[in-house]
Formats: sequence, structure tokens, C-alpha cells
Amino acid sequence: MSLILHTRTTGSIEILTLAGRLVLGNATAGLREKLRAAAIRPSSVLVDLSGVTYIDSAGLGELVSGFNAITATGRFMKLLRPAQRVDSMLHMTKLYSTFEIFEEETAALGSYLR
Amino acid sequence: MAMPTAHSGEELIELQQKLARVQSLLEAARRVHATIRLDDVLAGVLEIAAKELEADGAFFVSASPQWQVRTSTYGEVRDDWSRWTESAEMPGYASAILPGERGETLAHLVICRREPLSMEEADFLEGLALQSSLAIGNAQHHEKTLEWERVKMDLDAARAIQRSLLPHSVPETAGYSISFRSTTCYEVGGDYVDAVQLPDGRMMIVLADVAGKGFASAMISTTFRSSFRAIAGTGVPLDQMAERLNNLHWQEGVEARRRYVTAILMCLDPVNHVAEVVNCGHNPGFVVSGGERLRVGASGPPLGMLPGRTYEIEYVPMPEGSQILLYTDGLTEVFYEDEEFGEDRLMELILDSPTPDLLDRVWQTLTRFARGARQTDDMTALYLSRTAIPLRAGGETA
Repeated sequence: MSLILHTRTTGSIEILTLAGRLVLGNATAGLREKLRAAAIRPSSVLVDLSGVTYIDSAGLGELVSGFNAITATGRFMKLLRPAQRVDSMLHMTKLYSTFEIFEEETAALGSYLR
Repeated sequence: MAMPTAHSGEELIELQQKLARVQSLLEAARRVHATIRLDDVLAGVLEIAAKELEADGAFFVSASPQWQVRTSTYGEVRDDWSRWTESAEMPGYASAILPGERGETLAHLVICRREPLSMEEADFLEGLALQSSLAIGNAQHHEKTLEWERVKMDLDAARAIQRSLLPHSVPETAGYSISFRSTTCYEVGGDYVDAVQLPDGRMMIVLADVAGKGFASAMISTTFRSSFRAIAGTGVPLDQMAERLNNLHWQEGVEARRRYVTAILMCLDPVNHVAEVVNCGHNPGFVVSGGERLRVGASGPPLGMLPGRTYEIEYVPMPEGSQILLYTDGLTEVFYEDEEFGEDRLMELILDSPTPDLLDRVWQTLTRFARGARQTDDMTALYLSRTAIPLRAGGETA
């Protein structure tokens, strides 16, 4: 299954939902395009990773690259419900503490108001 | 038996004219197909079209993005030739379609001639365009083949360079054995393994994996090798080495950051029998020591991903019989259908005491597990063990 990307906006938060395999190729290119577009808009970003069945090193690289670009402009990129594979990778690479990670969308959206 | 058909004088002349046109088209086809060079094919077609149909000049007009040949004209073409389109019906021109493999229009073969074409001449132009399309397709394929050969030669050279950058032999350290193995899934890969002996007898070891695979990752791994070797020679503590490597890679820019490096840095002290280990966002290193099995996890993120990060050294005592296995995720992420080989299976391959052929066994086990499926990632492992009797030093790549 290739990666499906879906974007919706709630207030000033852009919610990017990923489903499928986040791996080198079309999937990482698609995510790069979405995050690049998000980085030039004034909104912050919440990435829903609950539907990601597999992530490789290139996929992780795209996520962190987007994180760097968005946070460099003073906005936020947070993660929502990373699926087991993503969760393991974030732990293994010691990146878990780099991101703000939420299990509930309401709590995640509320965190941007603080 | 069929009776011979009688022809009138006019019919005979017409038949002779038809025969002559077929012969000229066959001759034109022979000339068009006589060369495989694209420029010669294009020039030849235009020349034949202009001469055979007594036109002032001829040219091609693209009708499809697939038509990627250079602009080409022959003879005298009018000033407005570049504005020619099929729909404009400009006087003084005649044209035929060059069809693609699926019948689509690739381009138009256009001649500049004031007099309109006769039906036979139009047939000739159409036949020539059809032959041109085939010949141009063959010539383009030939050009692509030549280009691919050149790229392949470059890749072969890159592969040879990369293999030559791996350690030809591992420095010998009394009482210890180090072996490694590295196989790439493409011509070149992003895995890197190295061992450098310091003047005081300690051994600096690194096993690293650049994100992604293929040529781009190989380029980054070569840069990383230079940085590692330059810093390793200074004897700087491993945690500081990791911090420097991280910041150096980060400073290389956005593309390099996307190709970050996960790595395990290790410094073996063969006198005090301690291995210092720093894991930079890499798969856990496996340690079997004194009956215990440990995993050395990351103390900081991959190198080059985030600036200003810090790392911690883990001290691993190396009593006799101790073993350390470092590996890239290409080993643990071997799949059979949806089932992953995984860390636990790899750890189980390490016996309680040093095994000279551990890496052979690992690769054989992975091959059996994958049931012959194609390797999808670079695979590299390094095996260090302490034994009273030196096992074997050296490594191999494929």
C-alpha cells in the first residue's frame, strides 16, 4: 500500500493525515511537498501518523526535515498517535523527546493554544 | 493454372510508375535505416523528403512531449516555418504524421513546396514518415543504451571506489578478533564500517548507516568517512566525537540533513579490556559478556539531523569470551512476505562463546529466511570478540 496523504485545517492548525508506507520514493516525495507547502503558510502543523504501517530511514528523515523547517519559523509541528512502527523508530533513534506527541486529537489541538 | 492478365498501354505505364514509387520508397527506407545515429537519421529523412518530392526544404514539427529530438531543418525553409501547425493549413507546405507505438502523433514531417502533392506523392511522404518514425525510435533507443552504458560505467567505478574505502584488513589486536561484512542492494550503498588503530594501541571502530540507499547515500557515507577519520586520529573522547560529527553533518545543509547518519562509535581499550560505545540513533548494539546479554541503545539522535545534540558514552567491560555485534537495519529488516527477521532472531544467533564464523552464519540465516527474495537494503555487520586464541581478522564486501 502506498502512502495516502490528506490535509484538513482546524483554525490555524493544519492536520496532515498519513496512511500507508512512509518509505523512500513517491511517499517521501509526497510528504516533502506537503510539509514544504505547510512551512510557507502561517499555520502550525499536526501530523497524524496512526495509519502509517511502515516507516524507513528516509521517511523519518522527511518528518524531521519538515519539523526543522516549520519550527525554524517559530511555529509548531507535533505528532498524533504514531503507529507502532513509527513509535519504535522514534524511540530507537532517541527522537521521541524531540517531538510533542499526543494520543488524542483534542488534546493535541488544545496544546497549540497554550 | 491462372491465365496471364492482359494490360492496356496506360495500365502498363501506371503499373510501372507504381513500381518506381515502391522502389523509391524502399530505397528511402533502406537509407533511413542505414544508420543508428539520431542526427544522421533526422538529416537523412529530411533530405530524402525534399529531394524525392522536389521540395525547397523540409523540417520536423513536434506534436508530443515524447518527441525529444533536436530541431532539424533541411534545404531552404521559409521564414514562417517555425509557426507551422497542422491546423493552420498554411499554403506552400505539405505534411505527413510520424506515428508513435500506440498510434499517437509524435511529430509531423513537413516539406516546403508550392505545388500540391499528387496522391502518389502524398503516399510516398506518408510511407517515408512511417519509416522515419521507426528509424528515429531505434536511434533514440540506441542513444539511451549508450547513455545507460556510460552511467553504468560510472556506477561501476563508484562501486570500486567505495569498496576500496572499506578497510582492506582490520588492525590486529592481541586477544581480540574483529570481522565485518558489507553487501549493498544497489551498485553502491550508504553503509560504512571502519576501524582505525590509535598510536596508544586503542582501536576506534565505527559502523554507520546513511538514510536512504544508492548513489546519494554513498556520497554522504564518503563524506562521513572523511570526517570520522579526521576526528578519530585526534583521540578525542567518543561523546565529543559524536557531537562534532553531528554538527559537521548538520552544517552540510538541508539535503545532507535529510541523508542523516545513524552510527555506533566504539573505542576498544585492549589493555584494560573495556569498550566505550556511543550509539547515535542507531539500532542497538548487541553485547554478550559474562553470561549476560545486553543491548546498547541510542543516547542521542542520528548524526546531522538536529543541531547541538549531546551523546553519552556507555562503558562495556570485555572479560574473556565477550562479544559485540554491530549491524545496520538491513539485517533486521529482511522480510519474508510480511514477517520481519527482527532484532531478537539476530541476537539469538550469537552463541554464549565467540564463534569465528558468526557473520557467515548470520548471512546464511538471512538468505534462508528471505527464501531467495531480493535484498532491499544495504547490509553491514561488524563482530568483535575477545578470545585467548585470536580467531580471524579481516572482512569482506560484496
